[in-house]
Amino acid sequence: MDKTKDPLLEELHLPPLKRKGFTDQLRLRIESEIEAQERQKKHKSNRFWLPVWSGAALLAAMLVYMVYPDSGAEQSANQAISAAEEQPKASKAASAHELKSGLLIGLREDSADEAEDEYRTLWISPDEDGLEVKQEGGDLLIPYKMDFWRLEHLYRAEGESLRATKLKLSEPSMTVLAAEPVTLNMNGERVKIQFAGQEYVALQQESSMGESFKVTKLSSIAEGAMEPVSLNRLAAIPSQLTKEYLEWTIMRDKGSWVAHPSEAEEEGYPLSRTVVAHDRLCADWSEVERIEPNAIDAVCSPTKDMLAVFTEDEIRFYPFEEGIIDDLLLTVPLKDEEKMIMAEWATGDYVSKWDEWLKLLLP
Amino acid sequence: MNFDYLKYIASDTDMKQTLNDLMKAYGNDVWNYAFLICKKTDLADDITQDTFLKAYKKLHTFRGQSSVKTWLFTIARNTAFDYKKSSFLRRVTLVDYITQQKTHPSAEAEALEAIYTSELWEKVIQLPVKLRESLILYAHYQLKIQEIAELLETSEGTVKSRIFKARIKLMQLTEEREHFG
Repeated sequence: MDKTKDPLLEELHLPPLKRKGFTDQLRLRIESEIEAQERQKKHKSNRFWLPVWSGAALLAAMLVYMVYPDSGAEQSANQAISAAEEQPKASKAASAHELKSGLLIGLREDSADEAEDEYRTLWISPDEDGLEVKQEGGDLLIPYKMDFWRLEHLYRAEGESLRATKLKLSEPSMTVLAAEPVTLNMNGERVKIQFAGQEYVALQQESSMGESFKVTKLSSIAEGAMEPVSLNRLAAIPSQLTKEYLEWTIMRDKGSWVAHPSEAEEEGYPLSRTVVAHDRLCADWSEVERIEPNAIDAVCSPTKDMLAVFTEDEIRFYPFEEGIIDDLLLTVPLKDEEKMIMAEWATGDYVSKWDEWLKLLLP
Repeated sequence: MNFDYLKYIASDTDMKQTLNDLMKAYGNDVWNYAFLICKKTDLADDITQDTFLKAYKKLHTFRGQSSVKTWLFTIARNTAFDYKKSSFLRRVTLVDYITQQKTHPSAEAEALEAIYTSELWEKVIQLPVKLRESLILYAHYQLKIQEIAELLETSEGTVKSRIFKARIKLMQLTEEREHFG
């Protein structure tokens, strides 16, 4: 077959698409994936050799000491022993490299004097030396399914409002498509975001009539409606409670999110997984208090490899392995009157994905 | 760019630079090939990424049994068919199936039509995958029949027959379009 004389085949010699498929962005994506895989391989290899080298050094020094007991070998043996004693410490540092989780935390700082509350979102994930606050930004960034919502609490001359923006992620092109933001005016009421997770937010509203509580969907805010969702649908309540609770809120209670009907605040009910995907503490509360006597709250990763303990003024991150809380890895200072209102975990491949996405979303 | 040196790759070869050269020389060919198999731009990105990651890991095993381009295409093809087996593509295929049930072409299909360089390419993409693949490798990538047969793990006779059938089908599609406007 002579291709040069065949018009049909000649036309197909041209590229099929008008645009170039293999972009610089894709090339960078491939290069960064190779870097990430090589880093991981290196860490695994270091972890394998560390105990071997320490053991070999200890054995060699002991042999020298047995053959030449009066020589300076004692010093060598001591050094080797101290090297071997240091080994578990190095191993702990290395264990940080095996963390498979990242935490996206939403915080609310209550104003002292009726001024503006402040919100911020932090992304904490593993790096080469352990853990790092990789991104931080104002407002709340709430992951839901494969996308994110940005929720802003605005203070304007006409009063407070909430602004919700859906951020749709397009992975191959690493682009964020932001929907038209929707601003919901609070009609003169004060508002506090008490919880954000999955597709729900819990709000505390305050007007001249008093306080009220509501749990609503982010999509409802984006429709300008803020329809309340019943507690009965989202929490496990005793069967004798037949009343429908439209006024309720979501609060922290020593390591768990709980549903609280506002008129029966002494009792909280466990929430459905549609509100909080993961909410199980990996250690007993007594163990958390033993490690951190000033602990007021704690969250644990779904893969049970990371524990974040909250005190009044700090978040303290510990690796957690086989039921043991390891050495402190990272401390994040909290501002006065700052409270956690969101804790969303990424695990496995999603950690590196969120590393990349949150560079764009929390610049 | 000449990649003959890959046959005798030494331990001190800068593999990352080699990968970079490969991506520069064949990145677009691999992406287009992946796209022409799967017809999805997102998926073509993923297949291309996996192809170069696998090639990077296997660089030292390349001994020049085929050209570098054919070697990359073989990896891309296997990757694409692995994806096809995975639930991801099953989901995508289901979406395809649903959109095909509609009377009007989907927005995505319309957008894709607009990105082809010619009407002929629009028709080629409609061919069954086996015919499409043989034709593209022959006409667009200018591979020899023997190379295509090795890549597709079939006989040279089958490749020739598929190219012939693809041409007939293309003519039919052209006639249909002229007839129905």
